[in-house]
Amino acid sequence: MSGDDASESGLLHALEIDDSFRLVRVLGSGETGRTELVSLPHGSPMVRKRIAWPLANPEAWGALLGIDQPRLPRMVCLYAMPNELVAVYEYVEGETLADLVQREGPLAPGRSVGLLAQVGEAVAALHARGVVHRDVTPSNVIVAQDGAHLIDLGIARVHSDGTLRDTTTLGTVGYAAPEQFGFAQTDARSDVYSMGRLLQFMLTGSHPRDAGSLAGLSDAGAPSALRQVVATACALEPSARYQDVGELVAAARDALVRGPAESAVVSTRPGASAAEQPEPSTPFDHVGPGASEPRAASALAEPVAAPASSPLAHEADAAEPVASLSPTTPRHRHPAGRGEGRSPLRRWLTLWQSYPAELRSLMALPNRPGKVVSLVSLLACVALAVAFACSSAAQSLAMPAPLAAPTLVVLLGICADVVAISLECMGCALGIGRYEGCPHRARSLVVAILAHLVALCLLTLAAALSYAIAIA
Amino acid sequence: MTRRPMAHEGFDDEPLTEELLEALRRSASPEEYLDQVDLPNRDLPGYLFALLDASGKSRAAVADECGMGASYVYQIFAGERTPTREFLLRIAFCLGCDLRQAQRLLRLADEGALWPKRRRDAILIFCLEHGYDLPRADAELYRLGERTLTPERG
Repeated sequence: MSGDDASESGLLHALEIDDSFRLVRVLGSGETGRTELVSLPHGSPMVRKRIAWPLANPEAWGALLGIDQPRLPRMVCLYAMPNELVAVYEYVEGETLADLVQREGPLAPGRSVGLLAQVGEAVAALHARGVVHRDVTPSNVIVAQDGAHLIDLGIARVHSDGTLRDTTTLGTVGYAAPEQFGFAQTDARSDVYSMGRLLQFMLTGSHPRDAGSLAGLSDAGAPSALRQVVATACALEPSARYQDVGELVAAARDALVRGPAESAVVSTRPGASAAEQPEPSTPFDHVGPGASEPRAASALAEPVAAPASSPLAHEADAAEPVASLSPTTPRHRHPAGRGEGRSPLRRWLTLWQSYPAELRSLMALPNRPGKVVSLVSLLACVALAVAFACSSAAQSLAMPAPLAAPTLVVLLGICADVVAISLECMGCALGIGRYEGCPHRARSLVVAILAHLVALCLLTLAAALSYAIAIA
Repeated sequence: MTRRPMAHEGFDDEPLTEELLEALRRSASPEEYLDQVDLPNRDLPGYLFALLDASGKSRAAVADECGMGASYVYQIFAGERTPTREFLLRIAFCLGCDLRQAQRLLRLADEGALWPKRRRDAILIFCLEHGYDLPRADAELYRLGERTLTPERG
């Protein structure tokens, strides 16, 4: 009873706070909640975010309450309602980075790195509290008079040790790290990935999906040193990325200062083994240093902060992470929470739709051990099959013909699958080490084994039948 | 999630029921009427929020003044529960509704309108018309030997 009384008085208090704000307008609305622009009488505008309970993360928002970081929205209050968690924070007037880049086109490297560093301050402050933002995208970065601000902790979560993977998978396609699709738990390195994508977006002016692959960076004339920074930040395997935001920002600044001349040794990650270093001969490296050099030099003089040209311009982007994931609408985000109920197949389709560029570029890597291994195994299988076929043919008088042919077919099938598995696992084999939590291997093997068992049964049955008919 | 109207959004610019009824009488078919009028799409929670904003009170104050539980009030405003006629009338007095607003509240909740031919309703109509608050309306009901809106404390 006293518990009920406590929750009743808590709700009374929450209702009192909730109704003290005046609703100015709704900034965005979706299944996951609603974002509103509110104000107190004679007060400055504030953003009130209502997050439906299954998706709300009070720990992450609570952590934000205690953070005094000018690059993060200053929390006004946080309260719980029966259906939703409500967070009220200061409204940052400015333009989203997405709008800024759409208006101005690709940003100069100097300005890009400057903005990245400012976003980095915000992300680092979150990480220091154990919060992973998980949605660092151009739409969630507001470029105000005083520089970049990171907004929208709608899907942030607190990292917990010992959890294999996140319970909800969500994020923005193109910016969300692969592990955000449910393979492993997200951590600070997931935000590093998103920040790498963010840098890529600023340099190229196009969405990472539209850019095709990282090769788009060279087309955009970005300095090769910065391209390497993006490549390292966006490595498929989290351990191959910069391990924290500070490292990424330092590397980006370093790349800017050192310019393209030293691009080959730009990976300065301390502690990274040689095997984890990005491949020097990646497809994104095929650009002459001459093209990017003047740009990198001039970039240093560029101002970092952008003028806020259209106030309130980001309201549409302050909307919830809503709408279903669609490969044609890159700004749409994952329907959070429903991720739990989605079939693994859907998850996989999502991954394959989102990361063909990475996979393509991985396939293009020459002379990696994985490729050699798969080639050798393929040759071995083919040789085995041919040898078996020859011996079968030699013993054709002794062995019934209907059995020899299916055996050969099965053997060839195994060969084909060995190739298929290694192709499918190219990401892991060619990536630097095994990708954390990659289910490629296990899943493909199970499928292959099952498929072969079924094929063997069917073929044995067919062979027995035809043999019986032949005898009759 | 309940659509909460903007502060400036009122319900008073709607066409009057009498006007709509007149337009309906003039129409040869239902379609003719439906095509010519712009029917307001009003639900109870939306109207309650509009009245709340107009009154300047909070839901907490409503719960407190009407003697209703906070979660019940929350659910009413969220459209998850439809209050009874008695609760609606309590809310109407609490939010300082006039007769027209109170009748609209009752209609939106599919409850019987206040009817001057009934003794208790007549007293309530008088109280609404004269801007009485809930305690004063209850006192008036008590004085005239009618059941009060707020249950008497035994």
